[in-house]
Amino acid sequence: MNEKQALAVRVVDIKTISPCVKQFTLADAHGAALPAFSSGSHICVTFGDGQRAWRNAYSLIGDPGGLECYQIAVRKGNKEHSRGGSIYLHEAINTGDQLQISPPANFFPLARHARKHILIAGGIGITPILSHLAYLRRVNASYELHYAFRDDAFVDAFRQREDNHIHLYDATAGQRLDLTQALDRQPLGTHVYVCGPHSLITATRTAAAELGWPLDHIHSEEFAPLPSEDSQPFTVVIPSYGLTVNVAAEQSLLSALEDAGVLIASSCRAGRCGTCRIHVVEGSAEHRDQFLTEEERGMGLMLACVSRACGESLTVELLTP
Amino acid sequence: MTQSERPITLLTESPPLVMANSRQTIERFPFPFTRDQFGYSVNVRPAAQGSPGSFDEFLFDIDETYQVETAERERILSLDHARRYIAFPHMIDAQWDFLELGMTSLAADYPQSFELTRNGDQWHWRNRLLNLEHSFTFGDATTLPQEPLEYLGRQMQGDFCLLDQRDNDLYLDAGLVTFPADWSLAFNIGMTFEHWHGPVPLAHEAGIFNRAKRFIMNLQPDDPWLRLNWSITINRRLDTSPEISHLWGPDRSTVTIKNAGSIVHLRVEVQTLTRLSRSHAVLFTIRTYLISLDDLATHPEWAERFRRVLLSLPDEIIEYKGLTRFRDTIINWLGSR
Amino acid sequence: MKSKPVYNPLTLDTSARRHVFVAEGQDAVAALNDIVYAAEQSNTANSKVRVLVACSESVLIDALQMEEMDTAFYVAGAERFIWEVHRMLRNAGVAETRIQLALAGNVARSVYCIHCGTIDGLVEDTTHTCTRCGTVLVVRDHFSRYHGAYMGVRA
Repeated sequence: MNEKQALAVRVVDIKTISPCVKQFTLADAHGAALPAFSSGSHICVTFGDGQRAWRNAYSLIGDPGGLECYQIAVRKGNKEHSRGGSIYLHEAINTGDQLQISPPANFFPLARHARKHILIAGGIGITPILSHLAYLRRVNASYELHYAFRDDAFVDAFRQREDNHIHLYDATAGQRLDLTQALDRQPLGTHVYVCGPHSLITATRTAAAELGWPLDHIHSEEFAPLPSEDSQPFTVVIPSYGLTVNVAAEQSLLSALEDAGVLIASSCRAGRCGTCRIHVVEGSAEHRDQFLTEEERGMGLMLACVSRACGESLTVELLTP
Repeated sequence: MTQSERPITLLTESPPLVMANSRQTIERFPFPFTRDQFGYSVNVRPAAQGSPGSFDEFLFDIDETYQVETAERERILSLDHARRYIAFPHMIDAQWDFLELGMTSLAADYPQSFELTRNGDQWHWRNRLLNLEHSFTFGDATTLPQEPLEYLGRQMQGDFCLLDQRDNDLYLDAGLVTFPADWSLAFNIGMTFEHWHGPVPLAHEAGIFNRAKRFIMNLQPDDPWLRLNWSITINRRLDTSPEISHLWGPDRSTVTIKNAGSIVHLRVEVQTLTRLSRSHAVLFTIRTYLISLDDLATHPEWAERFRRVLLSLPDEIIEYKGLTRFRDTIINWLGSR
Repeated sequence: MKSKPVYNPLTLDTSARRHVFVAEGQDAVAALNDIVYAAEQSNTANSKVRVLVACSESVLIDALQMEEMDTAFYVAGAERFIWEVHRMLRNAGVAETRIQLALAGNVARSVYCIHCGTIDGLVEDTTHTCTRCGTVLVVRDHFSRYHGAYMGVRA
């Protein structure tokens, strides 16, 4: 995280929402207003216990209209499968503690021109959906919300407010979300937003396609761990130059190649503009960019400025200009 | 607006501006060429990272031509408002985002000139350069004399465009554009990114705009980027819109080896791209700087590099940038320094 | 020119279940015959076909209120007409990928005079004298879908 961008916040409230979920309210550590955000945004929270450090992304769950504080909801991970960050937040963080956060970023925005919005949430995927819901209610937009859950986080709040556009599916009571029913007979200009397990997202796309929807009206966010900031050294082989170059842990592939006299066009040097793309001939790339599509990665492209090798070595070729 | 309401251009004159570059302005000029050759690229770098006093120290640059530019903008808007300020209704949230970003930036970066006090949504703005102040309710357009984009844009240097990101594309859905380098807001309004760049030669085939669009669509708030664009303007004119090309076009035929130093200007656009917080729209600003060849040549290395770049230009670029009639004269002038 | 429209042959959108055809006039109807037939013959479940010919704007708007997310649209007519309908469809929430356009009838171009903002229709040459301000214009390939016209600038 860019040091200049990090915000210091203080935990001003912690609320237990359900057995597994806690809601943290964060205010600026110096009492300033927090940056405005659009619904669907998340922040990256950096914290540590002196020995381990974590950087986890959490959706902002509140109405984007309120700027005195941010609210996030953290599901406590399972000790066997989790990297421990959420467990630490649940067990070791108290009101008054300080955390570092990034400014909000949004890869799951609303299609604000939509005539109608269908929100679909599975489990902790409810978090970005909550801020969409708050915004849509405030602007009196047309929406439906379908929430399939096992853990009943936020369910009481939904039940307390009479809203026949909210549909709840308690898996522990055998209730199942019927996606075909949820998406059938929708007017032109309806957009769908789904957040939850991969299987839910896939099932939503499949149901929509079978109903004759264009898939560009289905928007999704999948919670995946942020790429590790730990970097390992590796070697890169460029057969056309007859070179083998060592890339140190703290060095990018791009700068290592430049140091070795292999000049690749570059621009943003931040994994965002695609200028420094090269072709992986052998070995596996660890992609850390925000530019290449899955298809392009599948074709062997990688961005030299941020991406690295998965293993110890990569063989690459430059693209002909 | 119906056809019958569309105005015939009311700009019957557009005199060149009287503004000389001071030594300081010359030194901080955004000289755009890093190589001796012309080349297209998505050449972006982080904005507002420049050293103190440089053109990119701050996100919005205010310089010694502020009074002349704001006055010229006011003159153009009074005569041709309908085609120089256009904003589709759905962009109102983006307009407020722009106003917030502009006011907070200017007040923080130029505290001797601008002041902003906020009490919840009750804001008070003071512009000492234009000697105005105004209290208003943030989010309530009835409390401002113009829409937010126009209200603040009139007090800033540069053209401002708001791009709506929707349906996997970027739409030019609002703009305050009084100083374009031969492009029309009124014609391009509502176009998508690759379409409004349609006339640019060579770059599409090289994939430049596809990559640039993807870069922009991935922008996140609080992370502005910058790139430079260049062309040539004859006489010190900021408004080179196609709407009034009959007023500035003939200047192109008046360049001689004798007057080139004073009337030929290198025109550099500092373009910034910023993701806006609430609306998720993108602010695209175009800040234009002009320098005469005489002033440019006070830096011999600039003159020489510019000469080499002009020599390297493909025919399509010469044509597109409108340089055909005077390119050789300029190359000769630069070579004789 | 990237902004210049390229009209691909109409193909039945098999991802959709309903198909709506909008024709400016009889020439356009003829241009749509084959694809309307293909739509009627297609055996997707719940498939439905609707053809609107030379209808008023309000009729089209009413028709759009009834349509749902599983619909594809095919529009045929003169260039300015088809882009006007395109704009109405997009405003009604139809995805770009669900709209196909075909030129039919008069293929002359509309020209937007950059100097006075007037749009003149049915221009066949690459130069044109603006009917309002009298400027002699070169008709460029730069096209605006919003105006449904090509850019004309002084020669």
